[in-house]
Amino acid sequence: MLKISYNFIVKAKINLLIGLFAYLLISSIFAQSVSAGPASTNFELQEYSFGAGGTDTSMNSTNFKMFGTVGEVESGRPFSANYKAGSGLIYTLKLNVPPAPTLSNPATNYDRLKFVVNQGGNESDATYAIAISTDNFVSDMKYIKADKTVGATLTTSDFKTYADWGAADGVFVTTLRSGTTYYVRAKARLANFTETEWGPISIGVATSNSSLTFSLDSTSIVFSDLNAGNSFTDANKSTVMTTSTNAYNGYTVYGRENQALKTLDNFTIPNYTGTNSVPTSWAGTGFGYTTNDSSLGGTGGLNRFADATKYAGFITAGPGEIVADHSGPVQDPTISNEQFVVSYRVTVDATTPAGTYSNIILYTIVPVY
Amino acid sequence: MKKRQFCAISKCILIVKSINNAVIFLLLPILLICVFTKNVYAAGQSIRVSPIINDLQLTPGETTILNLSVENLSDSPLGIHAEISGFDETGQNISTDRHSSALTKWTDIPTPDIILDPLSQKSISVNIAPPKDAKQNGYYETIFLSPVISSKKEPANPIVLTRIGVIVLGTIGKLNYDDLAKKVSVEDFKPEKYVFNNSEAVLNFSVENKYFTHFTAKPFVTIKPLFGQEKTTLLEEKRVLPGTNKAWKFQTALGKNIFFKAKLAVSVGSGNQVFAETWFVALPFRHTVEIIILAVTVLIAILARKRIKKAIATLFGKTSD
Repeated sequence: MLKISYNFIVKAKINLLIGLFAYLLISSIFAQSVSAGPASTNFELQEYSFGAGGTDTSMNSTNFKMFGTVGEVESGRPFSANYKAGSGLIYTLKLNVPPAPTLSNPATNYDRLKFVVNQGGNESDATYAIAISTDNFVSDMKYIKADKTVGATLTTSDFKTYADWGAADGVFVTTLRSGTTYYVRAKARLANFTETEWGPISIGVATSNSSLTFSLDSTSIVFSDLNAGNSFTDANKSTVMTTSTNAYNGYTVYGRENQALKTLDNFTIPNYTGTNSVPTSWAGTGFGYTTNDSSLGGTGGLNRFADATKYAGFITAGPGEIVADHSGPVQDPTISNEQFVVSYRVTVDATTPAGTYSNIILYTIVPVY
Repeated sequence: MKKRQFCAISKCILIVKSINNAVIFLLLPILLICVFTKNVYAAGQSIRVSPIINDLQLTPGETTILNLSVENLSDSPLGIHAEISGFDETGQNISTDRHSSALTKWTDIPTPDIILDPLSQKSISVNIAPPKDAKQNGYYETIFLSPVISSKKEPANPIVLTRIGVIVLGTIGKLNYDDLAKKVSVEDFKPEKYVFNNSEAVLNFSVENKYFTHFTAKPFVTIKPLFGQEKTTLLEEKRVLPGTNKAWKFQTALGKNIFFKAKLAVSVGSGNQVFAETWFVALPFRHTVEIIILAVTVLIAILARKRIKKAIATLFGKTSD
């Protein structure tokens, strides 16, 4: 009884194994035929369901291997020197690699350049990080931070939207070195797991050097002879100052004199009593000046010279007092041939000794730092 | 024979002359364009200097050479004299005359006087050699370039001269932006008044630098109304020298909201920022509200006049029968 049972069990096991092998064989044959995908003479895509990975046997030829599902790429640029069509599910989630940002120096700036992000077909909620380099990304690579300065590290907060980066107008990246060529590139991302590779590199654009051009139309003031015929007054002489500069914070012109108008015999025409902070309509005698700068810095109000109708006397202490200026920011455009006129007036009385009166008037221009 | 030779020579001369005329005719406009496209300043002074703002990293014991390009844009020769000067470090004051500065002792101009031909350019070298024991710090100076004009010993008229100041901002020591951010503070970020009567607000603040060297402060002001979208404005960037502060005044339109929060982020560089916040109220219709409150008060007084009379009478001890 026991012997029969043992044989029965052994046979049953053998039959079961044969059955299993047969099932596996048949199912493998049928499985292959069921999963057979699109095919041509040379290719057959064996695994093509959504998200399917695949191996190097999935789809290959001598020159070609397909490792996963085909990703979506922007139309018209599946592959070039700068782009590639990434395949696989992860690439379908990724944003388009943004083309090179447009880098420019529109106003000969020396410490900043303007860049405009190119979206590359991404939606408006995509964010972009910008890398910047002085050697075309050979060994130097820094990042444009959220505050538009240059930093050594890239953080999540440095990814900003197209609108944040100034949209089509772009923004200036600051804290750059003067006289240096820079390159930029961008990458995009949207939430997690979507960050692209760095895109192509922009053309190199150089910052300028800071510069200042200052011109005076004349190196002397030739007053008319003062006599009863002109009421001992000449108010028709002036100095025209012309300035060009790319100094971001603008410039200031200070005026002073070495002494009051004086003859060799030490007779003097005193300075007019009005001051730079409180100029006055002309009254009395003296030598004074006025300026047509209606937004003058310093104390006393912007248009305190009332469009060149109020006067002050020069001082002798350095650096002098503000007679013309241009406050910052000077970014785009920079200052080009800006003119201010300082006009002079001298009035004496009949008792002033006759003689040749002279002094030196010094205009000092400094960029505001 | 001689006559023929003479004729041939004459023809040759004529051809050469024609070619010359043609060349002159073609070249003259080009020459004129070249001459007139350049700004030329006659009888006055006109110079161009570059670079005028120099942010230099200095190393103790090493010489840094700064080359200043000076260009004479006038049509007469010009002498230029270079002079080293100190720097006023009082923050708001930007004057630059003869204040003491350690940097002036380390600076040498080997050729301080040059003569520039009309419409020509030359360089002036400035050598800056900090000693080996120079301390970590910010060092500042101005180099003045003055055109020198020929004048009579006894001038008959007032003479007008110019000077151009070239700013040198030197640093010895490595700038660490994290440390810098800890040493920079925002002072008095507040509105000129907490309740504005019109639809425009004015905010003031200053930035103080207690770091060893200067930095560029880049302030962003964000105005956030209680309801509505916030708006961020980038203000003028300013360099703040060590031990000084610089002030800003920000004026902005407010729209129709009443309650506002203002946030200030001052970038000190490399993405590091210093923050401050304040709030204010805008009541552009405050006068209207006052009139309405007054009118309502008067109306209540009229409607409740009997009760008010009774209350006054009670107060003064008179009782009505």
